[in-house]
Amino acid sequence: MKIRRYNLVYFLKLAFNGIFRNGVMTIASVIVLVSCLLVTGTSWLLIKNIDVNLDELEGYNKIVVFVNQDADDYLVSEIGDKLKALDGVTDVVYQSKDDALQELIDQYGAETEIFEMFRNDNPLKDEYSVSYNDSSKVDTLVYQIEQIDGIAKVNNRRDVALKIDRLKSIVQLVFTWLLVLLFMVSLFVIMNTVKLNIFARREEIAIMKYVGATRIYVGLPYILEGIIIGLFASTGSFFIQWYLYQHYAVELLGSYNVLTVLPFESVRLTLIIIFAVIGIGTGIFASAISLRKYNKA
Amino acid sequence: MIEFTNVTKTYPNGTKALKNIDLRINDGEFVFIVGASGAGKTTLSKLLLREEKITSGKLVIDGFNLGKMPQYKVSRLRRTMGIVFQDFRLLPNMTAFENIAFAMHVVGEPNKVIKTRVEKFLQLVNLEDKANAYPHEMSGGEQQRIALARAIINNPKMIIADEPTGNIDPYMSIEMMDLLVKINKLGKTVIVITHEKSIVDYYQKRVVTISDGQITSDRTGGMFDEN
Repeated sequence: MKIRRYNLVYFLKLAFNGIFRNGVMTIASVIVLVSCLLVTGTSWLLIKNIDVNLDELEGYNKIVVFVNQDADDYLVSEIGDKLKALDGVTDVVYQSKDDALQELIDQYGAETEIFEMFRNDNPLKDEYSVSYNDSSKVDTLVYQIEQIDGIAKVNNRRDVALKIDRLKSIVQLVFTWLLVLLFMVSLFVIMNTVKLNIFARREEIAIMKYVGATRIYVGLPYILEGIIIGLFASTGSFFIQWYLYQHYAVELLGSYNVLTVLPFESVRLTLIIIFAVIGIGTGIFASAISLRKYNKA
Repeated sequence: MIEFTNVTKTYPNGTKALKNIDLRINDGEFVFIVGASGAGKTTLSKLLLREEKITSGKLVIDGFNLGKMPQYKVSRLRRTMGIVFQDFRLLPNMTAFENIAFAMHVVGEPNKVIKTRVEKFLQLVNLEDKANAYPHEMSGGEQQRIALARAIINNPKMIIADEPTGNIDPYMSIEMMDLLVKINKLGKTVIVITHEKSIVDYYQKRVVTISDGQITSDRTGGMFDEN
């Protein structure tokens, strides 16, 4: 059997010719695909970070108990004893309102002037951080704590975790629909770009078929075109995502010390893979659909 | 060998272009397919190339059953053929050399082999000085010779020439036909589809006449049947 040797450089040359021949359409394809990838990347990073913060919350089997402002030292101490005596409680840690204020001041570093005025009239409350060992009985525990005299408020971190989980589901839903829409648009634009190039070379393709060119020979330049568009889009998206995440998430959000923000280095590789697979995959898929018509004799 | 057995071709709009065609062309034959416009000659050539599929009957070319052949095998069939068109169908942005080389490139021949063989074929059709000329820089006859060189460069078993002299002058027509006869003498099957009486009468080859989708005569050493 004769082994047919095809020159990849020749096909790449044809692919690049096609890309530059319809420069405007190519740019449009890349832009739309970049949008699609950025939505994917942003949603994935958002969910990843939500998960990390969620783990931190859910990992704390803790209830924070705030004591009434007007409670005296005796009552505060009595509350602590009653909390320790509850069934299922493993640890009780006390933080006075003055310590809580100082902790807040320490978090904000240089900008502390605004907190100094509260030193004499501290609006924060004394609090107890109650750790427990059985999540299934948390509701009962919360109820028992609420019955104790002198308690202002009970914060169950699991409630917060549930709220964040719900938020995560909404984020996932919204971004999924946005992604589907952008993906369809990307597909459409790339298909049209490839179709234009096929049309421009229709004479050549017809003669190729008459002399016995295989589908691979006819179609490979267009598949490569799709791959190249996908590659451009993936690369561009990666660097844009990197900049946006670093600037807005890590530097801006991370500086407030309110949330844990994953460093970009920890998500970089996965992001590269996601962008490459979706970008190049979309390019190939769109080209293949455009070629279907021309693969019929 | 080409064998049509009770072949009918009906287009989607209901037009019956070919009706119950029985035709056998052996290896190495030279055959003229003649007939008036609309007789079905072009449909016959499209069936041979598998550009169109038969509606009923059986069409076999060298073991390929064209009625049942899967799409991916069509390229393999076409490599056994060389095709010459009335309008040459050279690629305008390629030189004569590149147009011929194109046919070899498509089948995966290495560049070294392409260069040597194309140069030889340009000599065969007496156009070695036109290697770097573009189609718009050549006459009709020269373009048709380049098209012929492209058709035979991959050593096909048969040549199908659809009105090969339609766009060239009578002197060049004879030259083109002489080339086809030479190719036929090398053992290739040659099928020439034409409506030019003078060419058919001159060469005295087998003549198959199609009229209204049917074969009305099939004569060896025959002349153009005006009826």
